[in-house]
Amino acid sequence: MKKAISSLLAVCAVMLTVLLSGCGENGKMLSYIEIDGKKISCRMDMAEVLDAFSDYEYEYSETISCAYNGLDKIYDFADKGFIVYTYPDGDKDYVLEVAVSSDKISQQDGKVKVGMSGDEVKALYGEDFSQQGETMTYTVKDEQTMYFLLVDGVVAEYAISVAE
Amino acid sequence: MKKLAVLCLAALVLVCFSACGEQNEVNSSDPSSLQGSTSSENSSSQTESSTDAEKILFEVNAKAQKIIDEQTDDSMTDVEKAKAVYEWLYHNFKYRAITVDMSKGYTRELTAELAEYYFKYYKGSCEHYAAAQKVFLDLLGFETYYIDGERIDSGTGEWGEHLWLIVHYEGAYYHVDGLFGGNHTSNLFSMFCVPDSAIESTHRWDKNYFPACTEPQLLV
Repeated sequence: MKKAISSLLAVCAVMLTVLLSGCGENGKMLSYIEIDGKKISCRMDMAEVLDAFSDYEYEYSETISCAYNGLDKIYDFADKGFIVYTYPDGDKDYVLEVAVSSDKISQQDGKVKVGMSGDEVKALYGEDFSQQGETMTYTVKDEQTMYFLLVDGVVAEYAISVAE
Repeated sequence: MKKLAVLCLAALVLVCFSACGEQNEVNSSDPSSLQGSTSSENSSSQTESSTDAEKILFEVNAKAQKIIDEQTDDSMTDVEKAKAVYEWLYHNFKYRAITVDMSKGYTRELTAELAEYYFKYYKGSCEHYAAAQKVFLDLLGFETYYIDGERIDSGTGEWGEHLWLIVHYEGAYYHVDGLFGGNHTSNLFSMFCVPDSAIESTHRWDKNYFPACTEPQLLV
């Protein structure tokens, strides 16, 4: 009996560790960006994104990529304050990164937004991030990152991105 | 007599204009005429934008020097140090197709703007990559120049605009393109200080404008 309880406790501890490894102190890592109730996640088929946001205006640009074979495609929803970068795979394009620069779009019930401070980001997601210049990058599961780009200590842009 | 005077005057004007045209043409044998030259001509400008650029470059150089100090040591040669930061840059650069205004040419102001952006956000386009690389190599004592040309998409065979560097080191010129080398070849260093022959199957540029890179790759 004691062994069974010990085993059960051990399993619970492992499960708890696994669950918490994806979280900061308070916040769950961003695995998608939600805009007006619609979700965009990394590696999503861009055609689905365009379908979901069919009533949004955007500026499209493409150029032969300097880094990859294929085209760099950028969908700039400037009026709404977000931008989507894609990568090609076969005949389709998939979401490489979604970056939000508008303070009108927030995540996780308003906890994540442009204008929050770097300290608020740390309070939400913890200290396990890499600092590159003014960018705080957290690793999310499934080879994805989320980053916060700061200007004068305040988040000017946040994004989810396929890890590279 | 009057007609002769008018003809002579007209000829003189024509000669003057053609001489001005020659002075404005690029002389590929004169490195200071290359794009993004590190010669003193640009830095001696007294315009406000140049002053701002110098301030930005001062801060950018400080950030870059810190990275150089972290990635290298005094036992390394200049080429070894250059190779170390070449590798560091590739692994610390997130490529995104960010539109860059190149209308004002390859000036110190442009380098300042591009490098400032990169050293803040660690991302950018090939222009940002070239500018960041330029900052590192300039600090290490290399003369660097932007080279604007095209690179091939090996999947489609199409050519697209691209920017990389030519460096001048100990009397010879070499190509440097870590962004392409790391993303399109099996060896990141295959585009580190290489001759024309190593790059011309995948890159093209105006060879009348830029100096020939004929020496073998700078190896360490």
